Amino acid sequence: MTVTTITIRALLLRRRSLALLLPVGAVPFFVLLSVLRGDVTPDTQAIIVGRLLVSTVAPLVALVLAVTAIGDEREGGTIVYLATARLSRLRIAAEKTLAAAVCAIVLLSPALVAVTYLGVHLGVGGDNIARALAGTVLISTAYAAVFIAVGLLLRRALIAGIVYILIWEGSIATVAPSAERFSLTAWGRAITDGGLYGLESDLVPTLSAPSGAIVLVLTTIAAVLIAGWRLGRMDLP
Amino acid sequence: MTPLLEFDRVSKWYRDTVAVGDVSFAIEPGVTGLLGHNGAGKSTAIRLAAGLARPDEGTVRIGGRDPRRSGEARALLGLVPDGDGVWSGLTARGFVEACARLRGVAQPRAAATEALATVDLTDVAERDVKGFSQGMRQRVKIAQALVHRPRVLILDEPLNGLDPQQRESVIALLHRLGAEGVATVFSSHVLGEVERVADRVLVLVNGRLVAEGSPPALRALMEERPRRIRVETDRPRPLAAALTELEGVQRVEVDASSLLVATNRPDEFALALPTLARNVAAELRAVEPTDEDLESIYAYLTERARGVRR
Repeated sequence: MTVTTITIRALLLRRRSLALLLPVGAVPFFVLLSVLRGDVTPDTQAIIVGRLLVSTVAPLVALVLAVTAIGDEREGGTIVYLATARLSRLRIAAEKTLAAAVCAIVLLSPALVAVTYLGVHLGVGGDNIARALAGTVLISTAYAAVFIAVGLLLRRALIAGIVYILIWEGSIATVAPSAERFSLTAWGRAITDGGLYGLESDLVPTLSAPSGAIVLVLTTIAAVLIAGWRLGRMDLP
Repeated sequence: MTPLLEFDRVSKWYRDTVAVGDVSFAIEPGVTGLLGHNGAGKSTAIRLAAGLARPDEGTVRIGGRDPRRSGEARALLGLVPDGDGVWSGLTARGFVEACARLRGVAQPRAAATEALATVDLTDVAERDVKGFSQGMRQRVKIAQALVHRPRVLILDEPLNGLDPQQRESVIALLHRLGAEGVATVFSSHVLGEVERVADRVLVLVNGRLVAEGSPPALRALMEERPRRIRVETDRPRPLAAALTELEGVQRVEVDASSLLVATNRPDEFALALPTLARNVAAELRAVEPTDEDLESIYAYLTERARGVRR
């Protein structure tokens, strides 16, 4: 697990990583605002967890961390120390993904605490709170894996990732119900919001939570395999 | 017996540029210098040897295995890269120990301690590498490459940026490793450096291996080449006529105020020139060699290798 340890340390020491606490802070901010205004409903939970945390903040955090996890090694030249070790390229990709996912969850922890508080305040039950936390962890891990692979496939992975999050996940996939099967966040929201009752708006995807979990796990595995394959094929600096 | 490091007809190109072309060699224990000017293909050859780049043609083997595919091959290899990058937040010991763990060393902390002692960094082992001078960083990089006791050690321009004392220290270390049976390959564009350290030299020019052998053999090869000397004078034609009679002079080109002389006996030429000038009443304004730089030496070796020497 040396690659994981080294990467976690490097990521958490980066100013760019710490700057991610700003978008993460939006979640506790809106939770607090809703509670203070006294208008917390299941829709509030679906908006804050499904639309803000799972659809925007978690992908953004995972994107920056994943691109940094692999990009810094390539730009700084330290990737040669990994590539000349006995480790397989697949193992390097898997450990990089794990490190980015762990860091994402650490940085998302204020949001997770706020979501837990919101669930308790709303009285949605332990199951729904657990689903919100598990869904966030799964979607963060899946995005970390996908963006590690994208970082190895594309030169401008950060821009490509932001465009993907804002254009596809943030707009097209949310307004076109037929597109939700091709949206990672829709599968994530199926886990986090699927158990909520009493929603006034049509905020929850029609997908089931178990299939959401399976899709996210399979996406993670596929992305790690692609990243490992790409790392094995590419020339390193 | 399988060579420790072997290139067999290896080529690597980037679009239309040939970085390494049809290069073959085998490396055994001892110190081998990889000599070439900037852009000659040294770093690409090193990246190919370390499995960081994939050859477009040919094969690279370490201990008979492909370093890109085989963990056993990479276990035989220690690489000192050209770049100075290190992971954030690590002391010298932490960095070397992390490299030991990556390479599956059984007792990484003890191995790191030993490797740091080998490069005389024990006193600063607990300091953050980010604050190190270039020379100290170079030694940390060497320590990480030695921490798993590799049988093949590859160093990319290890003497770059070091002060004289640090260079002596690294040169002594390379000598010692070579004597201990480690197949040590280091790149340089400085002939004098390579002569001092290497038992054997490979010369790369424009991605091609144009000469190989011991440093004395290479030096002899370079000394037999004709030298080109520019002579500025007020009477070029009479002086040119006199010079053509001198032994060793192969060609004299004349223009309005200077001569370009090709000779394979530059010492005799230098001794005879003032007398010849006086004899024809010519004033010597400047005398300078035009091809003492490495580029011209490599160019000569390239021409010689291609059989197009004039």
